Amino acid sequence: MTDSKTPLLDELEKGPWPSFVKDMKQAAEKKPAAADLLNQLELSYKDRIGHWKHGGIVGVKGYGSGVIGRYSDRPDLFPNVRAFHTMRVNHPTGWFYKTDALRKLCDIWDKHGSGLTNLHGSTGDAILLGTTTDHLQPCFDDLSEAGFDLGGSGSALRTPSACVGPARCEWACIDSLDICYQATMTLQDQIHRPMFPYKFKIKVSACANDCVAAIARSDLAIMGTWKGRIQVDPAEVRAYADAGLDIRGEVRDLCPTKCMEWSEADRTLVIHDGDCNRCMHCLNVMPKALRPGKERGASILVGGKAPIVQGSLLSWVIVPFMKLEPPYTELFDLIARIQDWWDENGRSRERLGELINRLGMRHFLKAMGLPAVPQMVKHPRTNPYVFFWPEEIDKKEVK
Amino acid sequence: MSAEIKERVLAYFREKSKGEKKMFYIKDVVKGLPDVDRHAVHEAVKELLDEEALKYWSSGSTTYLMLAEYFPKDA
Amino acid sequence: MAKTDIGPPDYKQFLPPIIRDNYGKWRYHEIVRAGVLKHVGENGDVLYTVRAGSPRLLSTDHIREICDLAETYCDGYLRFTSRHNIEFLLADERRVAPLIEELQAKNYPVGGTGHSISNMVHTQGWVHCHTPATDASGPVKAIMDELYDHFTHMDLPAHVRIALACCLNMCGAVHCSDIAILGIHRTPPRPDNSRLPNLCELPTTVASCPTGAIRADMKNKTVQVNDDKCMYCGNCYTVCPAMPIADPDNDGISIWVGGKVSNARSAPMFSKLAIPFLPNNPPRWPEVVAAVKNIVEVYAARARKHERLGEWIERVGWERFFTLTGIAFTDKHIDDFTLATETFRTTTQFKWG
Repeated sequence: MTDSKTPLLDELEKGPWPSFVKDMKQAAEKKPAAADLLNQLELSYKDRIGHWKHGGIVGVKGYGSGVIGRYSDRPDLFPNVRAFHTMRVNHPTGWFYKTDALRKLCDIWDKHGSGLTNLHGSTGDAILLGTTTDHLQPCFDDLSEAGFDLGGSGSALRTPSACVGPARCEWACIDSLDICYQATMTLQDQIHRPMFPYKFKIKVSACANDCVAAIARSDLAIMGTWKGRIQVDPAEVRAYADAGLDIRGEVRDLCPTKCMEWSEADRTLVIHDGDCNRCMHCLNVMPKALRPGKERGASILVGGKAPIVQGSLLSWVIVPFMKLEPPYTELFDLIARIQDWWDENGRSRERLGELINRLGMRHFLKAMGLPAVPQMVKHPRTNPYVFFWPEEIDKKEVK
Repeated sequence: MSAEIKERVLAYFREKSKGEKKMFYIKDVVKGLPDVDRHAVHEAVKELLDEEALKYWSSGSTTYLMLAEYFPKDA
Repeated sequence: MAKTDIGPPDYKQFLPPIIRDNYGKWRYHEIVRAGVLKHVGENGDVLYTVRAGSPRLLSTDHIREICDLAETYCDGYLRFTSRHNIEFLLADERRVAPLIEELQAKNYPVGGTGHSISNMVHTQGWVHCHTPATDASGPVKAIMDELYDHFTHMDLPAHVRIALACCLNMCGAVHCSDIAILGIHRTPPRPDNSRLPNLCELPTTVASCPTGAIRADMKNKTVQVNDDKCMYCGNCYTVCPAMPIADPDNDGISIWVGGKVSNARSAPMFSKLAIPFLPNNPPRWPEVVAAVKNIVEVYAARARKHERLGEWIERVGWERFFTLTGIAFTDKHIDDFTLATETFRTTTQFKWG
């Protein structure tokens, strides 16, 4: 028996969770690039440092986005990953596939790349991990022929993503999949030809459970919600109680707004909808009995991002409620105005949230033509450093 | 009109590329042509990219523009 | 010349017939067992979803095996989740048990639903990133091995979402996770004065620093770093390759807790610092695995039903959190970035720990 060249990584083949090392070894049997990737990773495990060089110069014709250039800093040891670029393939909305499409993707990647992928990357794209510069264009041509296109990277609109929505969820207040797909198709130019100050992310969650982390992760978050009363089915409420659900303890007591009353005696649930903030907890616990209200739409929030540069931000409410029905004209108009304002005023590498923070929300709202409403803040300001617009001031003639 | 803007964009790149720096943000280019509408500069840059007079350079997170003649050869 | 701007394939062609028939008309769902969802339509149609974990880094042959399974059991229809799980979509209840049996035989963990630990969102790490402070796939594998039973069983008070980002760029935006594992540097970047003038633009490099620690040295066309102001975020290296920051002896992992994304009950929250530094100890990062396991176990033993990790900590208090977990509280835990004072306690209402 020969000694393994990857004793450290071999340790990660042990244990019950599926091992990425097994997948790398599987690909390495067919592809020298995958074999060198494995060997370079072993070196990283030994050295405790990454071995990829900075940046990339690569792309496909007509696009400035969708390919991440990557070069080994040890091409002397690992010549087959000297160039090892990533292609981001825009995933089908909701990450739905039929196997024939997935198999096509695999065949194309076996022809052009390392045979290794991520399903999926953090932004949502199907990631094809590692190919050489001369394969980029032919690989793109084959992808295009098979009906696939690249996703966003760099200072572009990143691939929009959406939760499973009405395809498989009773809580969907908006058609997250259709909104995401229409945005993706309408904004193709922004995805492929970076012209923004920095990245811009759009994510669509069809309810406040936010399965795609839109508030935490996107410059523009579209969050399904409703107005009016939660739909209550009293018989199903009783059925939950009969089945042993502790409605007082698990539902009423955990309601953040204390907007409901539960009567154990007659087993009825009363919701004071005016006090409800539509957090979803009670619906999550009793999906059979409680359903979102009938007047449905979305809250729009902006500014979410990870730490770099000026710190993490969660998105801020700018439109408490917007009806969203095809062709989503009001939404797409708003997105266009937001992006144009950011593009005009933002510095290079400044995200939308950082820009609003720098210039002030009042300037953003004024430029968008959005009225200030209490839903935008946790509470009004506590400092007296208040600006007034010139037109709000009674001007005296200076003699 | 568009041809003139394109020529001015190219002139901007040629002038700015005389130093060691060859890569520029799109916002630098817009600032370099202060009398031209931002969107028109974007369109001109896109046309120049299509004609391969300009090239994109991307770090993955951030995108720059440069004259095709300075575009680095594959490392 | 290939067609450009065609966009992704239309997802509607990939929806199984039962989903097309019930699109927007689902009535309720139940979690039948860990990893199995049952969705019931207004018209009584029933859709089963079987959820299985994956290493995210998949070979094409592995994907083909997944396709074989989807073709055998669900007419070729499947989807993936935002946490890298595979979901098999079945209209026929009779196929659910045989699918699970075959999945288990082939080493696919079935679970990740309801009050469990779902798959970890994570980044590329040493496999394919140029700025990592740690690996991603390796620590994730080691942690999920240890927490495996919490994936396959719904035995926790609430959902526990764990994520890993290998540097502060946070491609995985892990900053709102119940437990976030974050690769960090601890030493300032080292400007390479021979390469910097050719590779980097000075104003951009200076502007990249959140704390103003970088000064341009116009005469030598390079930059100087004020080490006292540097908190090692690595953003300068992102814009200037001649400022390497990786340092094998000092890079490692920090652990953050109590974040959440959902609006259910409490508002979305950032994760907060629990452990400022643990060493990079490949191949299995035992210190990190033990730390995560400890936090999960203390939470599981003490939190009330439906209480997320952050909600439990807010109820008992951070001072209690540190006592109960035995994690040391240090000056690193006290914020000194912008808006730091908002996190300082301004009341005598606190607990003794």
